[in-house]
Amino acid sequence: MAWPEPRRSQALLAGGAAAAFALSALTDPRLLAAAGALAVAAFPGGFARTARRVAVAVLPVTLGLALVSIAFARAAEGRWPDLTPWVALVLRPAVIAYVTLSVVRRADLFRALAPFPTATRLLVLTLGQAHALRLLAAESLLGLRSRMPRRPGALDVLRGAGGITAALLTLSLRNARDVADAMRSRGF
Amino acid sequence: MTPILELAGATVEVGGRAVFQDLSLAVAPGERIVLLGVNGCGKTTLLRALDGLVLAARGEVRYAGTRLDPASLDGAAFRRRFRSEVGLLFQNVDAMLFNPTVADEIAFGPRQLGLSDVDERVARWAAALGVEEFLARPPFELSGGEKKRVAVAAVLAIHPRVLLLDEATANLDPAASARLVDLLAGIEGLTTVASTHNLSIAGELGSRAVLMHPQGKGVLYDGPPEGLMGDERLLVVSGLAHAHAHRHGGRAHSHYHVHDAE
Amino acid sequence: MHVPDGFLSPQLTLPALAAAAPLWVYAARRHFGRAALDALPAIGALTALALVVQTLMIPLPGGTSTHLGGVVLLALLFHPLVAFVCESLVLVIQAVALGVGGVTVLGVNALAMGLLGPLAGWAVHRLLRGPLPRVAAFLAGWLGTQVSTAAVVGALGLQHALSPAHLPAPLPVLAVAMLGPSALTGVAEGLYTVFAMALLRKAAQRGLA
Repeated sequence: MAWPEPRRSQALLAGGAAAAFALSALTDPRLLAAAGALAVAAFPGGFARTARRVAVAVLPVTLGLALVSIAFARAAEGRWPDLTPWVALVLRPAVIAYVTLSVVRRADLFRALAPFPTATRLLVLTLGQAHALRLLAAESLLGLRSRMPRRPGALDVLRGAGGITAALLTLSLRNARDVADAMRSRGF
Repeated sequence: MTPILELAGATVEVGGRAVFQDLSLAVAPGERIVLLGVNGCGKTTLLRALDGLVLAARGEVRYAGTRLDPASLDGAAFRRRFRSEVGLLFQNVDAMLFNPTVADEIAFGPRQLGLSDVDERVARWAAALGVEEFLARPPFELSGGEKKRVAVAAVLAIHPRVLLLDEATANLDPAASARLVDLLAGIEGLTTVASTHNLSIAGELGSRAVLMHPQGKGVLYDGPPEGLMGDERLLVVSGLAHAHAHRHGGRAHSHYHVHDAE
Repeated sequence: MHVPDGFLSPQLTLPALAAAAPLWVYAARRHFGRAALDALPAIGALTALALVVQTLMIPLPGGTSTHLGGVVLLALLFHPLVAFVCESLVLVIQAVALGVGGVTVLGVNALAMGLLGPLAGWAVHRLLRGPLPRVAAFLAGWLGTQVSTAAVVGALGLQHALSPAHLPAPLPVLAVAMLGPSALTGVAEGLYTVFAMALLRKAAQRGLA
């Protein structure tokens, strides 16, 4: 499908969102498995990487919850519960995560937002700021390690986080004022 | 005599990429080293390696004869000794300041070490760096230069044997810069390694200049700063000098030169 | 604690989005001003702050680790609706720019973590900040976390009641599985809020916004 941008990315993102909502309504494990196969067929490239990321992010939560609840039901009712909804609960978030991750990897968000200047500006401002702040946040952990005679524990990291938040907030608000001034001086 | 700081064929990688390779350097106690090189040559990483914040992928980095590796830095006794004897002044001092007031910031190191004369140290080093008027204020409210002075006071308050300085004079006006240089020069027995890309102050920051290859491939020069100033070829190769068109009294021409302080 | 995609059906996620949307518009207009010139950089700045604070990893005793929310702090420093706008934008960015997912449950997460939690934290802080400022800050962080999680548990419980085929986990299991851990991670958030407020409270009074 070689549509031109921004249509291509917009269609991908909108389609992905619609698919996610549709999938979230399914409860039949067979339908979900079929949907999963369709998703892999639709987005074959990078399957291993995407699948691994989905597995790491989603499966511990769903499998953990499933095992605990099934054990709970078995103990409370003295028999194994119907496992169908549990299979569905493990499959559904995984399939949705695969679809959404594949879409985000392939869609160009900035191209998709090009017809919406306010949204684009907001995204650029936010991500640009986050980049600058993240560097400082990473360095602050090094600063903590450098200044402490022992390994920083939870309390130390929290204290450092509180301290660095003050610097991050001051920095980001000053940047915001500068950006607003720059936008004004350039005629917005 | 054991070098107090030593790199032996050290290669340090960040993000899978070698920032500097096969670097060897020995620093004797009390030496004042100025580490020179263009941005990106690995000066910051080198200083962090000397502070045990990044580890050598190949070769060794040693403090007072002990190799810096996960084993030694995990040991409580060595770690405590190392952290109390070596201080690093980050280029971005925001990364170092996280206490509620300047007084707390300077007191942090001595308190961590359980020292008994915390208050005296705070008073002494706040005065030495000219930040007494800010003692009750939060560091993040101060200007760049004021923050830098607070950070220096905080690191010196633990009375380190070694002070590593990453672009120490950036953000400082010439007067404040001169005061800092004088202060450090006056601390007897202190070993310093100070990085800069500003050749004009190199002679003030140290009596031994170590020039790094622009891509971190070893050391290009190791000797008195004066020896480096006259070596045009070396200055060009290292990227510290360049040629571009400029004017002298009305005539435009181009030749190699070095810019004075930013 | 966020709800992942797939735990809630459109029966709940769509109305949640419908409820959140007008609130976003109102909150943005009310607290960031109508002039986009000033509003956008400010929203961007605070959202970026929340994004970065949420990447900070806090090692916990026992070998695990947790992440901070930072949303309650924004509510205390500025206003709960400011926290709501910023946390909602964080969720949007995480879903579409960072690939973390959560587009279907955006409304639910925004209301739980961006509105109800910070509102509860803000309220308890207002009550106690005069006599006991540090306790107030800690409770704001801790309670905010608990209320966020409770709201999520409530949504999941409602889903279970409406359609067990969708979410077979009964409410007691959900409550214990989520509120237990969040009572502990809430301690980290509470302490973080105390430390950050100790530095910023004075600045906030001087009108940092």
